[in-house]
Amino acid sequence: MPERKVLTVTQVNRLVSGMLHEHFPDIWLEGEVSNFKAYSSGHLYFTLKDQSSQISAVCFRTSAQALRFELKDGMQVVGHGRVELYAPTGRYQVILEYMEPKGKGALQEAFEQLKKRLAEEGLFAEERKKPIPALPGTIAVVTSPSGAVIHDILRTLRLHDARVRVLVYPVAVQGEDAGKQIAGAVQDLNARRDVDVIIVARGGGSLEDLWAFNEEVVARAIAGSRIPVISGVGHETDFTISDFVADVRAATPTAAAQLIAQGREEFQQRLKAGADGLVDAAQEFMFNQEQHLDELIRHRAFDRIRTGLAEQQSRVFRLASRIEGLVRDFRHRTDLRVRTLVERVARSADAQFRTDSSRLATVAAKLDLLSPLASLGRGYAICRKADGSVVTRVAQVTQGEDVSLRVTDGSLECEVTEKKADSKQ
Amino acid sequence: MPKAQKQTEGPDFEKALTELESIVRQLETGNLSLDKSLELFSRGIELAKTCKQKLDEAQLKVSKLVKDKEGLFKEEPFED
Repeated sequence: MPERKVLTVTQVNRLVSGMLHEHFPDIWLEGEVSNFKAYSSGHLYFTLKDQSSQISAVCFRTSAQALRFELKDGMQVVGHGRVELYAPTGRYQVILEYMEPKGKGALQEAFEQLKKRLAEEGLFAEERKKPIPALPGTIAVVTSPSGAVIHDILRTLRLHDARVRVLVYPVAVQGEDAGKQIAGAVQDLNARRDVDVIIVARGGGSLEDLWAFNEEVVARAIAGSRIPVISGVGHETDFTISDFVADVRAATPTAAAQLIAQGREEFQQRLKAGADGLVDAAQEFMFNQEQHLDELIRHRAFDRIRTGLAEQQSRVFRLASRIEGLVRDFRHRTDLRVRTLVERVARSADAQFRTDSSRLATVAAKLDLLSPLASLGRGYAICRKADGSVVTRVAQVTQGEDVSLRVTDGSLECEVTEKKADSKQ
Repeated sequence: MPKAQKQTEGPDFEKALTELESIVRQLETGNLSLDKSLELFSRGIELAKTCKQKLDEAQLKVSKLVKDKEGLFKEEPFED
């Protein structure tokens, strides 16, 4: 009889443990989750099973925290890990370091199907897209109130000095209820009258993380929004249904905020251009009017009127002085009675004369205003050719020609050394 | 339905700026009567002033919308 080699329980377990380590250090396995328990320590304990057997499974805290979905009973998962013996109970278990829901392919499928259906309905059509107002007074941001996204958006707005009223509509952006919350937020905001733009935003993540933005309820809420919607979901490379249905897709939440800031900067530039244009047009206009006026004043038709008026003026003055002389004579020559009589006549003549000369003074003053001499006084000069004709255009003279510049108190005799036409007009 | 607390001014701004731009174009093409030109100038100056003023007095203000039990919204200060 061969010698019995008796092993202790611990020894057996150790041997089995060694074999498991050796043969199953790195496996992928698939199964349905049951008996799921999440401990306060953060470790997850559950059973993976298929139709005919089951295996104990553990996901330790550090691995559990990295999971991108919520583990639940009944879920089909694919996991990666190693097989170990748990010595205290002598049972073996699988330690899972990574898991994904087996439905990942199904999610992608659902995304493609919804995208196709909504595209066929025309929800992504270019002509449905509403323009984003250049200078929104109020923007609403539908996103998680905590975390980097809202912070990035506000930081970007501050950076560009985009002075806008921001309403943060807090929602869950991940998890079962997220889609409903996002859709509800868009609808609530549409019931308000103080919102000019809605931004729906979320940071980057996996297809599951971004799933709420692929839900039909969200797509329909965005499509039905009377207020323009910018979607800023995930990274540059992430596309969601919300991106397709929104009026503008911003690559990231920060890019969505930049869009708003840019609008303000463009508005400011346009305003400045408008104001400058107004000033330029006003200057141009005044210059043209002044030139036009000067031309009118210089017109020959006024010469005759001017001469006529001057003649009238001197005739009236001559008459007036003659009457004055006669009156003076009478005063000296006649007795008191006659003088009284004459003085009465003189008074009325005097009054008449005064009226006449004050009218004349008015006319003369007006003339003075219209006189080209007044223009000359302002620094303008009248340029005449040798034949006396007035030069108003460059083309009227030839190089080397002599011209005369009339200024207020005389004239300047000049030679044209160079001709420069304005490039404008 | 939540009551709007403030009328938005965004689209009005847009209209004002577009009108200002159209006025400048009209003035630049010229051929306007003195009265018409003066009318356009004063309108343009008024529009530019209003836009500039609104731009300058605007502030970045952030608040959080909070729904109460009756489904009405309150605005609370938001700190990021």
